[in-house]
Amino acid sequence: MIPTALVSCLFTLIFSALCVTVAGSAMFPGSLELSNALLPMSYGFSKAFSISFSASSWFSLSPMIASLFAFMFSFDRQISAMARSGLLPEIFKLTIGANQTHYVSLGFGVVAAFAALLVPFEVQMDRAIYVFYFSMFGTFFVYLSLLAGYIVFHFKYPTLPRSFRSPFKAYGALYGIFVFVVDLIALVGWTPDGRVPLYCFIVSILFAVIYYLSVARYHQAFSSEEQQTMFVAYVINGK
Amino acid sequence: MSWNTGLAFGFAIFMTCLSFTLSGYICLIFCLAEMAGALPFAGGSFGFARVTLGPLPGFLVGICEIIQNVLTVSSILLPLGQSVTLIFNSNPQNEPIYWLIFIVFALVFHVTGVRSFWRFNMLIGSLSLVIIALYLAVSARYMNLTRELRTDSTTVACDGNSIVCALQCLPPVTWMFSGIELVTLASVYTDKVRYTAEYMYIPYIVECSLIPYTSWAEYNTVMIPILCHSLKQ
Repeated sequence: MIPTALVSCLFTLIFSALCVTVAGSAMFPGSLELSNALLPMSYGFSKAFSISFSASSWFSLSPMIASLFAFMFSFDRQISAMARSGLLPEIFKLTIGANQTHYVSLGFGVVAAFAALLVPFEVQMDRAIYVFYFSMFGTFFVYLSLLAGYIVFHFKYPTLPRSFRSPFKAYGALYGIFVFVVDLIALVGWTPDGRVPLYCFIVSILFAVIYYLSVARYHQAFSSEEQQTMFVAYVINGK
Repeated sequence: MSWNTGLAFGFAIFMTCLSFTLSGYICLIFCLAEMAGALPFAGGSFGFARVTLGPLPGFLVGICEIIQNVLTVSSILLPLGQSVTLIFNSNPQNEPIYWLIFIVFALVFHVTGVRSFWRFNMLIGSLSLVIIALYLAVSARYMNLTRELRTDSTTVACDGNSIVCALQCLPPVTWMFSGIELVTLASVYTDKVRYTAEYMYIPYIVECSLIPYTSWAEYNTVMIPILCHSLKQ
């Protein structure tokens, strides 16, 4: 189901992105004004229902709350999965209650997210842009690694059973690398305020490497779910 | 920062950047779909990187994903707080209190149980789908692309240099799709019969595909094909 879900998500995202971009830009006050809007859909709702801009802002709350839920769920799963593999301290895999909530990983993520907001809030609100760019560097690192990983996967595990095959094969991954390298260059070289988050990101990566070399690599293991799902790959890898 | 800031560089440049970035995402998602089909793992991308690139790159990918997700929570809380300030015309200095309220609200559902968590997600996902459909329906009669884009073409951003404009436009456009790869985190749920798909898997897919539009109430119609697919299983 996951491959189907991913591809379905992608194409519905393309469809809705194009629809909403065109719809928003084609309405008063136009795309330039829209670029400064906190809640761009509010213009349309405000006009259509003859309500105030602040009243129309209610319409934008539910997707933001839903996104908040999804990302909290995501970092909880990632932190706890890495802890189960011995890559992060064991404390992060602690659970509480019958629902086995990873309370430490959840709590850590929430505190970190809050701290990342409070610092720019206290210093100067505009600096929150650093948080965004810092996050973008992480995103590009993940994308480039995944695409490079796919090339290795494509050539190293050609016989591994899979329910879906990319029609673009390794060429698609190479093209994807090109696109995201251009995006990365644009972020570093042409985006105002892009440098400070870059330095912060490099320092973070260096700390992560030091942590891995001095601590994590001595504790890393394969969690039970990794052993279950990736056993075949590890066997082929070991040959 | 939101994706719509890219529109400051002009509609044509925005759409060009959108097409370019989309082509990259299409390649990425197809690659990820193939790997996820072969190696379904709850840890998502770090598991794939660990198998294919080795332990250290895998670890770094995991760390970067955590950074990405934690800071995206920050990026969502910021407009949430600003929206509440706008709705109630309150003091912006109170926004940290609003962030805290939303965080506690989300934590309650995370802690109280899987079923209530996913039921709530289903509810709020469906509500958002209705909102986006409503937006497209009611805004149709106010659209005049020719008139609005005529004013748009007078943009003087980047001193009229289209290449520089396009380069500056790329990061916010990328933000539009960031997060879609998180669907792989739902891998383990597909095998758990006791938590049926309609409770856990589908809302998560819906949310992950909608994440980029935190400030546009942009919800996809992905729910319907996935729901149909899961019911066939």
